[in-house]
Amino acid sequence: MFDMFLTNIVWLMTPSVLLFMLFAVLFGLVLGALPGMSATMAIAIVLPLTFTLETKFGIALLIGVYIGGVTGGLVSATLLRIPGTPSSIATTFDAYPLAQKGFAQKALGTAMVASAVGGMISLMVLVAFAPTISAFAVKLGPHEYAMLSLGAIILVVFLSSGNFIKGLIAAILGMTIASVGFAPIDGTARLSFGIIDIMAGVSLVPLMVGLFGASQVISGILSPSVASGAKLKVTGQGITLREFRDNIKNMLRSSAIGVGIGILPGIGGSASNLLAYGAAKQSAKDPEAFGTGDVRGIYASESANNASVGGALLPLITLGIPGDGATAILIGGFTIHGLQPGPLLFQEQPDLMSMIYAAFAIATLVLLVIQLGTIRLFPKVLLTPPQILNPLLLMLMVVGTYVSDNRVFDVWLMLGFAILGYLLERFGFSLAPLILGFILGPIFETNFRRAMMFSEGNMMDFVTRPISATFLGFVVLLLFLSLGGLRLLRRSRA
Amino acid sequence: MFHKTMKFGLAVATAFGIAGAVQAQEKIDYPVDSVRLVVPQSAGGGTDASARLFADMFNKYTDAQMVVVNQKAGGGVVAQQTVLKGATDGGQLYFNHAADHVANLLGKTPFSYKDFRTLGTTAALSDVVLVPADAPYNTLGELVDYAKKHPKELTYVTQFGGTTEAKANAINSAADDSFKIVDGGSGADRIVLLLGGNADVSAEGVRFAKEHTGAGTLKALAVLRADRDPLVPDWPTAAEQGYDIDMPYYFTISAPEGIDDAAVSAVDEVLEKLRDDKEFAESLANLGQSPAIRTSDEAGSFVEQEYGTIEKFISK
Repeated sequence: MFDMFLTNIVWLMTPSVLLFMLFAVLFGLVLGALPGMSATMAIAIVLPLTFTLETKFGIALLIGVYIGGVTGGLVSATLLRIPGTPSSIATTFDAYPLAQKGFAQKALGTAMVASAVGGMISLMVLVAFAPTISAFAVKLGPHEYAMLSLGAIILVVFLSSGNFIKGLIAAILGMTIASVGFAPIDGTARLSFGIIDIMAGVSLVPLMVGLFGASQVISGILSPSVASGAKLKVTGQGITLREFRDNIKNMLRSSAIGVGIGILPGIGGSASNLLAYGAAKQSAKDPEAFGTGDVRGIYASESANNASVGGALLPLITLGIPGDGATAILIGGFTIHGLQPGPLLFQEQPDLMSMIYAAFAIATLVLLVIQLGTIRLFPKVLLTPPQILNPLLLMLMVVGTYVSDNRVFDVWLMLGFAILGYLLERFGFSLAPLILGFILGPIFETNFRRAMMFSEGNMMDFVTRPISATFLGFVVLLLFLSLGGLRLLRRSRA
Repeated sequence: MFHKTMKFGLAVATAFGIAGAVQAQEKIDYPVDSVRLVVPQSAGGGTDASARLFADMFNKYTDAQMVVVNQKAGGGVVAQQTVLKGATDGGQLYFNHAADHVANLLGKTPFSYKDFRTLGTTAALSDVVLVPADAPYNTLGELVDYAKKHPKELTYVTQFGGTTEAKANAINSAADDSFKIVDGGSGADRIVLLLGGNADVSAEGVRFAKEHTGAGTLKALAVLRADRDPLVPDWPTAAEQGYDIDMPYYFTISAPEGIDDAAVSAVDEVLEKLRDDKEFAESLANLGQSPAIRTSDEAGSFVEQEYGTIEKFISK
């Protein structure tokens, strides 16, 4: 395994490959940096463009885009106080005040270094734990998968940022969209109206590109850019070794939070940065310093959100269950590239497995070099005029959607989802539960129906099989907790 | 000076013209310049790989350019619609296998082989009956006997709505319905169920079977076809063991009814060339497949018979 990892590292370092990796990382970085765009959108756009590439190359590029996208959010968070992605919300708390005091270079540099450290720590966790979880996952049958995915769906709704009811509606909408077309197992056509194009159901690419990509173009047109006229001059001293040393414990704690949250489906980086920030503040002797431009806050937030990447990849690789919106698209991309996420990945495709690790490591390093190297230049990206960027991106989206299955129908579908996505966000619905409902719904349905076949309709097997019973207990606990949360909500309103 | 250049230019043009003519003579003339080979499977799978190999061969032997177009939506129905509604000049052909018969029988597509003109078959991919290496049975007969003695105890995983379901039903009918036939998803998912002890029997492609028997985790009981597969000549067939189950995947090329006859005969010529093309056979072996050439004169009756076989084991 380790020699494969090294071979892949060397392969990724070949100039031509490295150049493409650079572009991939940069593309993710730019979209991550621009407010309104996201890592999820970057992956959705790049995914169809990698179809014709060799499997390992395509996967390396997708990983590069993903990591670039998650990291990019720090730039606008620091300079504009607008998080480029939700995973950089906590970064605005201290990085923006620090930059306002004239230490923009220190603020950006700190965020960049913390990102790299968080990424590397989570990669180590991923490498260390993935084989163990895989070995365990081979034993899981349809009963266990049904309960696991049910737990994941409920967790998604339960933890979805903000409104519980709106999260539930979005998740159900996602599951409904997924149920269009032939049902799993018996192949009954659902919601198709007898139209062949609809019988085929909704595939991932048009849904993703529409919801996360084209919808942002619509909202970009309807609400003008915020960045224009902002101060983007980066000055002041850089980071000091002393600060870095003082924050090692902080980064370890934040990365641990990041990995832990990343593993849970539905939240990922968007919650981990806030939690890690809170934990850092709590454990400080002088919590009042936080929020005034304290580097500790930046170290916490940015190491946590990048650490979530490794966390989210863990269940994705070993169980085939995505942790957040971005990994939900990644899983689609992996499958299209012939990589079958699941417990056998280690045995059957160790080369691709080590490629994921290698691409993760290289992307993190390349990112750090690019970011530190262009620390004064890169923030100018925020000034990109939307009238140039939006048409370009829209073109990529239309081409990419068509290419994914060579159907014009998908392009119309994508544009329809763009409008849906725009409206949903407009009315305060979060899109992550929708996409996870879309992915997890069918996993649950298929495995539930399979489980019923395996045990010939005997529901008791869900309780008598120990692992399934554990997951079921977890589901019940979650339901109680969420009902309790609802009651609390009602009481606070009354 | 000008004249000289002109003359030189003419000479070059003539030379190229002659070279072109020679090449054209060697290459089979196809009625259109570019051909889309529509495959209702995602890129990267076994069917797609076989289609891409055929496209390479087509480009080697004809003066036209063939590209593979993947259209996996709906498990084939969209791709069939694309081809049937498309041009009949030979510009669009269809590539798949018996999964289309199953889909039609289960009502997942209104189209069947009757809507197409079948041009030929290119290759075969055999399925092998696999059980865990420590199972108490070593032949298909022993497996069937065990199942009969322990009704509904053995779980046989297939993909419902696919050809593996028909194969499982065929074996199950030989065992008086004593297997528990369940859906286990794609090949990769079924192997996980088999290795994790959640299932007892599955039938998988030769390449898969070779990998896992080689690793010592599974054993192969029978190849589900009439003659021995050249890739695994030591493995007994179902037929040898007294079970008349001959169901490999035969990769089939079809076209919309009313296709230009010139295109049909050009494809026939390509298929004839493939009969003794070593490169074709070697590349197929890497995919776990072996050549199985049928041209347009026999392909039509072949798919009709194939549909009949599947029909016996698939009921809605």
